[in-house]
Amino acid sequence: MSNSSVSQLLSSQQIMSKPVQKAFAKPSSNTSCLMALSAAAAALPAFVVPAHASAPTDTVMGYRYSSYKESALEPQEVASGSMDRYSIKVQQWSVAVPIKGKWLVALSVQDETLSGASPWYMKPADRAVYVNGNLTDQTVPDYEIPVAVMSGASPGYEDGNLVGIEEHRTDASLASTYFYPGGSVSGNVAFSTEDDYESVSFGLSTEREFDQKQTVVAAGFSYSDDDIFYEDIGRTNKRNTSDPLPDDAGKQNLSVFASVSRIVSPNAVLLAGVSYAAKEGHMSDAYKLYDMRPEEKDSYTLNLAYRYYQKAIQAAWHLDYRFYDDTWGVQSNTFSVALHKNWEKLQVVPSVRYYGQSAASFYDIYSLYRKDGIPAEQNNGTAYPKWNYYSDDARLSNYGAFTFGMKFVYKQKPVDWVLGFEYYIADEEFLPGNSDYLAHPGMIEYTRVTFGVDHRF
Amino acid sequence: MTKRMVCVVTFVVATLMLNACAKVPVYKRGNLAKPEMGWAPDGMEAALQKHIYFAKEASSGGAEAAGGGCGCN
Amino acid sequence: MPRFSVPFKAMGTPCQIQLVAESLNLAQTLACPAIQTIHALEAEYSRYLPSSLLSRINHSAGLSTPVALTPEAQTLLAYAASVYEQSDGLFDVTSGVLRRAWNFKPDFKSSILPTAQQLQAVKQFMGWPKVGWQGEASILLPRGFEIDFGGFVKEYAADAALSVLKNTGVHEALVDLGGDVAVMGARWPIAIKNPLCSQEKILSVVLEAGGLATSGNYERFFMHDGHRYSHILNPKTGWPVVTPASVTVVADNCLLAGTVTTVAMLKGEQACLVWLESVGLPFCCVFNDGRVVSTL
Repeated sequence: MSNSSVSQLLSSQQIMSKPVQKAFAKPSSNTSCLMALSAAAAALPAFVVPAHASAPTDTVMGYRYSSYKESALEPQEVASGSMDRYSIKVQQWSVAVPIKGKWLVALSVQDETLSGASPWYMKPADRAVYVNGNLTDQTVPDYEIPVAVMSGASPGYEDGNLVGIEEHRTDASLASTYFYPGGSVSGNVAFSTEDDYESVSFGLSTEREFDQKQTVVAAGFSYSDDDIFYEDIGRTNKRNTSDPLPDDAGKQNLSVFASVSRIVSPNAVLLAGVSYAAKEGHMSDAYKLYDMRPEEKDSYTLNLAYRYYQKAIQAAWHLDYRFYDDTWGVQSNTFSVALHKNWEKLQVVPSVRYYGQSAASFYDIYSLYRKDGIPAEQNNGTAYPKWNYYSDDARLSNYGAFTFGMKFVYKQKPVDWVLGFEYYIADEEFLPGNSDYLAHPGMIEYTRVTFGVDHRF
Repeated sequence: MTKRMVCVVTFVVATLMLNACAKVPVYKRGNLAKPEMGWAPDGMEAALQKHIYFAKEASSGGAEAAGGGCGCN
Repeated sequence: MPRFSVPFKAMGTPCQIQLVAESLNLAQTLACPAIQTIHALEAEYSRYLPSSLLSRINHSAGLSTPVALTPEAQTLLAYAASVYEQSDGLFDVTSGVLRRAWNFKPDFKSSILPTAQQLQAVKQFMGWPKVGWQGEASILLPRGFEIDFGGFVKEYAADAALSVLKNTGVHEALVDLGGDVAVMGARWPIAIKNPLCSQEKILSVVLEAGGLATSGNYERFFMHDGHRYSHILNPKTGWPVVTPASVTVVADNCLLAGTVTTVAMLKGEQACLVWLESVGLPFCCVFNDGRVVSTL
């Protein structure tokens, strides 16, 4: 063969001048021919012993500092006590270390300090009584206007009792995962401790891959055992006398979950999951005066998660939905949408979340009357029945909430700097079809700022 | 949205996923491997949000381990 | 971490392994077991080494004792059998004996075309169904037969080397054995050369996982009566195939990619597009007149 005879046949210019012609057939990846060959190849040693490809390779250390303050109540919403609500600061540390490509050990610690007041109970406002146009000393309850009697806020004394000491919670968890060809197994233990609460929990879960990770099935359970008690000092006032805390108060929670996720296209993955939890023990709020909750709560959730990479904007969409239902009558729907947009050195993540819940069956903003009930003759002919269970906790009422978030990540290899903002607002009006409600002063609104850093090794 | 409708939708979705025949070959999965395509790319953020919502709302959980309790709820 | 290239020679062609490591030394250390695997495969399936498994199988043809197969050889043979089916008998590991009829000279200046009787004589000693192997852990060839894994060992070696790298904890690597490539873990740019002018490239492909293989006729052909005959012989007719100038295919792994390109060449210029479209993998086909058809 000589180069000259080659060039007689065809010069390279001829190739380059002809446009590259795209074939019209759309490539499909599951022709029977290809499936047959792939199946035969799959048995070969080079393909049968996959490495522990699921195990991460980098050691990652991270820190986050977050601060948020629930907005204060309006003066007209408060009967007595502080108008300020919780002010919370949280620090998080985490480190995840891969070992020998088969193990991943992760340690997380959270430290939270919390100060502020919360509603002790709700009652109708006092309306002034006029007789012949003159203001009297008397008042009558105005059932249209609920007001909150607040617990103490900043540390100090109230009625001779020490109140509102800054609360401090620390929790730590250790998780270790073992990766093997085709799946992984994970175990974790966690401890949480605060002034009046201690919790120990552990869990086990496993994942299994099918079809070269086309499908992943996961399942697991976790169990926690909590102890609840009053500290001798601090928050001695404003306790729950309707359902006093027994000496050995506690609760146990057992939960199980299962999920299946699947690659649906080169740019999308979908996950569907269910979980079930059974809680038992003392669940009445120890710091609400008129609060009596059942000793059992069973709940389940159904959730869907979709991740879609939109090539046109080079960003990933996150869509999540969760349905929740429990035996206390609370049913909720949660929708979240987030967009992860990446550039070389910067990542921006805007997000929106909507949460809507229906009230617990024993929720009543005036649970103070449910404790003993009001007979008909004292209530203009309408009996106000006594309930076995009752609570005026805003968190158990009918309402909806929006969260708007924006996170920035500045990538400076091997370090990522994180700055995040989140605005949360809950309101009865945000629940469609919710009418005829009394606006609960306890509805929460806050803005959170988070600053953090991640380091990869 | 009724409970029954949600059950049905989730069950149908799960079944569809399991029966979906289109296999995506390994060499086409480049975009899926990007970190922003993970279920929870920012673990600490997810953990904090999970805790805050547990403390401020009446719902909890998702398809994951429940973890321990705290006095905030 | 930076990417390093570790060059070496294997399978008669310049090769390289590229991987991400902290230093060149570490890259070379990491690449070492993978390179050893490639050399081991070469030795095991080499036609020229009398000690190779392949040579022992060929030298036992017509004798009484079947030769034991390693599990890997067994699955490779099963794979070859599957390709025979899918290619309508064009891909035949026993077809090497046809070379005897053609008596290809090293300089390829000319060859004496065989007569029909000469071809018939040689064809007795080939035909995969005549071997009668049903997947057993040993094989006995009929007298005069020989098998050759040359059609896919190089591509399999690229995949095997990548697998070895994975097992030692490497997550981003590229194995390139003379144009047959297997990659993982990072966006690797791969240039597809112009078959008629190797300094130029036709297309650039970026692969994050999987394999790419190219078959071409630009290196082996001979001229006779003004016609260009390739080195690739059709096992059914015994005659050289008018192959496309080159075919490149991308697949989940290099072995699959290489199998599809090999069969595309065997199908020849007229039928290769139909074959490539029936397989469904992305491909780039360069014809001898310069026409390029590509779905990459």
